[in-house]
Amino acid sequence: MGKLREVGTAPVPGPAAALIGRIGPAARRSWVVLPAALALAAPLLLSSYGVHVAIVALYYAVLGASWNLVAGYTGQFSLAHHAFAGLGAYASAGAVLALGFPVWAGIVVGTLAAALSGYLLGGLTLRMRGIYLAITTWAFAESFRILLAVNYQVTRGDMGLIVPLLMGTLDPVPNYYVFVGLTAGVLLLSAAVLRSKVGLRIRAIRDDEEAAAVRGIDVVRWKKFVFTLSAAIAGLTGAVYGHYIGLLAPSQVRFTEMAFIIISVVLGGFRSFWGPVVGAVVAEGLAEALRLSGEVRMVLFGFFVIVLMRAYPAGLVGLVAALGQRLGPRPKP
Amino acid sequence: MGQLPQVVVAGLMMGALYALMAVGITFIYSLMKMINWGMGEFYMLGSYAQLVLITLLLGPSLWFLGVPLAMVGVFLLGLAIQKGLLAPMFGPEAERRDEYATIVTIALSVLIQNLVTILAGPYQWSPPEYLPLVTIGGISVNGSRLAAAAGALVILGAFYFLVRRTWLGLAFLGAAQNRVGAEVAGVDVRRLDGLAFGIGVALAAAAGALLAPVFLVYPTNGAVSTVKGFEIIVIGGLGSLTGSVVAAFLLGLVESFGSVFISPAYQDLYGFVFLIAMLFLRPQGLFGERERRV
Amino acid sequence: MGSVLRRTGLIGLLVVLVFAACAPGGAPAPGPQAPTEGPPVKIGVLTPLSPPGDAAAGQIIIRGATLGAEYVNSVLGGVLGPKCNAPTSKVEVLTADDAGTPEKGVAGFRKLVAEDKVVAVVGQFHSSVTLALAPVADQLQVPLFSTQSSDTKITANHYAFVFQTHTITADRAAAVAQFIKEYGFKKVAIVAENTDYGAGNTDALKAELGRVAPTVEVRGWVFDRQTADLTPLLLQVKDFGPDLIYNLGVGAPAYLIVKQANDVGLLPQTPMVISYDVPIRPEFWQNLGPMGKGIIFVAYYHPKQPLTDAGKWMQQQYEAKYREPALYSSFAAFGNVIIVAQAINQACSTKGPDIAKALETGRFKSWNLDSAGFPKAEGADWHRVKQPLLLLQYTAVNQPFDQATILFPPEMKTGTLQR
Repeated sequence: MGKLREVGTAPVPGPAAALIGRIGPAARRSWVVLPAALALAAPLLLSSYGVHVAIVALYYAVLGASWNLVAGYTGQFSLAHHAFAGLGAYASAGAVLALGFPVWAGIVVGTLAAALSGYLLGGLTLRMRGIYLAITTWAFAESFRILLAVNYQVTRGDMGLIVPLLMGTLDPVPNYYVFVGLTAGVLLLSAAVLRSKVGLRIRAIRDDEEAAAVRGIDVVRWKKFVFTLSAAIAGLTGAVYGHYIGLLAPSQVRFTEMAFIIISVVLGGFRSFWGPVVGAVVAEGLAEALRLSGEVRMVLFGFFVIVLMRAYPAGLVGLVAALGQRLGPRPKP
Repeated sequence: MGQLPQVVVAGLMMGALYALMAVGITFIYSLMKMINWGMGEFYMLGSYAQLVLITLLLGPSLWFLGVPLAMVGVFLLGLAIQKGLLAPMFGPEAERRDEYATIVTIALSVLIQNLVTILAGPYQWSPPEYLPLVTIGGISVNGSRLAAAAGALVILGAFYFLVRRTWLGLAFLGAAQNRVGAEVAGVDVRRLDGLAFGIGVALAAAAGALLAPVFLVYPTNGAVSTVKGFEIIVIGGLGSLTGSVVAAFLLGLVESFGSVFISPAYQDLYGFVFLIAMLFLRPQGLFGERERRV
Repeated sequence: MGSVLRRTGLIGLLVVLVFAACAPGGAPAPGPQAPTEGPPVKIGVLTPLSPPGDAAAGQIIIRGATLGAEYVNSVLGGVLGPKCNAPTSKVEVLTADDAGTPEKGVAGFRKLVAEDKVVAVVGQFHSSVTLALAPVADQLQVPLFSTQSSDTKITANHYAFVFQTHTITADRAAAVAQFIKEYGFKKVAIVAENTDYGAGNTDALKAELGRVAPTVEVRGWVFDRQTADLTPLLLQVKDFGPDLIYNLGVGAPAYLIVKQANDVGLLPQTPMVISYDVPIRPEFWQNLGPMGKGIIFVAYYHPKQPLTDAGKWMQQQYEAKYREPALYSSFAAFGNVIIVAQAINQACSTKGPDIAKALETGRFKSWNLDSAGFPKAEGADWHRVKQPLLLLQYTAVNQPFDQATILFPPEMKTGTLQR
């Protein structure tokens, strides 16, 4: 029962601080270099299919990281991150197709659109209990999906909207490096935010909102800030992803997508910095490994998540950290 | 606009069924302070139970027996889920149970929905109609839909009786208002949690069972009424049973009128617009109390 | 310079790693005798097997594709062989799930091509997925068959490796418009779900009616696929007072339109056309009972229609294997697989560009056509085989599918419209 608390107070930012805290500087460098080298070399090891799956995994990793920023660090449950991604994608497509913007400018428009909707939804609900945000974002996501489908004259509904490509090619390899860059950028940005005073404030809010308010922290303002930032990241990711796949459809805004984001974050380690990345890679990898039977894979995911939440909420990252602690030199008491 | 009475009747009948969903969600919330995101899956289980009961065991004429049986089955399942998965997190020392409950119920809904798809297939089924077409005062109404609305009212009545007129109901209300106080008074609050969860999901199952011939039986049939249920509980005021019932009928009417006077394509969006308007004008909902926070 | 060196070193290391990883399970040493049978030729079936895709359709498509491979292996004697100066190969079907979403579709396609080495991919069902795959198919140079997706852009965009065997929106609109004209309907209400299918067909039928029967008054209503309560919409339809309703729902909405049209009193007086062949599903009569009587529906297949010998083989095998009548989806996937096999034989090659070229120039036997081809034709007729469409009517409750009256096309008519 006490486990959740342990996770909650784990020091997080500072890339993989939990993992590398006790390892020497040389080894510490290798902890960053090794995954980075692996990430950069992946296209050499994988077929084009593997690279495509890696892109999808990174897409979920960034969405998971942005969701974790809100859910994990401020304790606010957004259930619309898939919708923010969809909004970013469609807004970007609209700017590019209807207004003739270049793709990069479209992506900026998509990011801003998602940020704006996050700001407005946050403004309406964040002064109330967390459940209001959860319900309102859920309803927002469903309504957005229906709106996309109903206005098929504009969005082409489920027929799918063909959008220009970001890199001018469907070849996954160049797109993969875009996603590696995006993931790295978003992770650095969240680390910077979490390490800054803002990070301290939002964690103070999550740990004890009342106490934080008493200490003079403008609780609503910071929650709104993080939520808007997180929505913007989701919108950015969705827009870039849309220009990779080259086709948008309302199916990207189904609740199953949100469930998958939550599942992968929990799998990796809810509220841990690397959790969303590890979780997304593992979950997307598993999903592909079990691709023959969509339902079976979702049943297994549901089951894993329940078991993890019940027995080991720290997830895979927590598991690795615990193993590292056990194997590494014992810390002095 | 000769169809006005028909629009009103259609809205009220939907309202009665929305009320079942919303009251179920609210009841669980008021005791356990959590949202069960898997409500739609219990609706779906209720509809499958009804389909199996009346096509294989009872026959269409005994549909009204199928509904309580489906409810009992789902009630027991809910009890087991609450005991096995949720109760352990609701001890006195547990923290962050909102997060735990949200994640676990979302995972549960994914699990149940896909499990049913594996077992029963993605096909759409329908039990035979409960009643033939009924014509009252020139308005023709689908008999099954009328039966479903009537059944919903009976079940809501029984629920009202349970909560307001029995000792158990008083214990529920007491625990909802003041957990610690109820505990001091000798009420086993954790057992009440289980019962509340079971009753809440049984209400969703009742809606599913009643609507089986009207809206068909398939693995994702609970999605829409769940979204409506969530919108309703915010509109009515979080935690208020009266608010849920009133808001359910209001939403039924809003949708019915909106479809006729604005556009039927946006039928499922009116609830969201209603919700946003409510958050603007009266964030605590129709019957909610203003929160005393920050 | 240094970075180049380092990169080369890295690549070298990786190459070693890859070889190391491959070594244990690597290729078996060549056996002493030359193989009498070539390695199996793999054909991918990429189709929806999980939500949000239509998994029911995906299963039926797989059945057909599997039977197609059996037909090629047992009746046609495999592919390649002496004629091509090559060992004879069996055809093998590999399935993958596209889940009805573009990204899963692209992943599945890339997997089938890059890892499973399939020579062609059949089984496409959702237009949005087919459209997402089309440029990938061109990039990887692997033929892709639209088995049952109908959007016009699939062919109108002239993808070099995309082939269409399903009825496109324009064909359906043409058949239904002809039917409306022939039977003298004057006021048509279209009730459509907001999907590729519903929306696309609404627009196409309106346009087609404007051309062939401009005096017919048409109005369309669109609803969200998830909406369960259609009565408010159908009350508006009733106010409009149509003499024909065109039901453009797929799955649950198709049933809901029938049921609720009955509730508001539109049925049974007003004839209703269901836009696809859902009434042949076993659950149709169980779900609708007496309401199903009088329903008219578009079908791509009728058990009494003329079939090729391959089609007849498939019809019998299917019934024997699955104990229910074969459905169009199965026939379509079956047809795709045997066409790919014939194209391989004509090209004497399993390379994508060769197969595509053979498809463009050759003629092939399908399940219903003795000579189908995929020429580089104008507009939406690019790379596509036109399928005949039928309109059938159930005239009694619980009527078996093969007893339904054929109302259209006129040359196949077996009875008159019952109102």
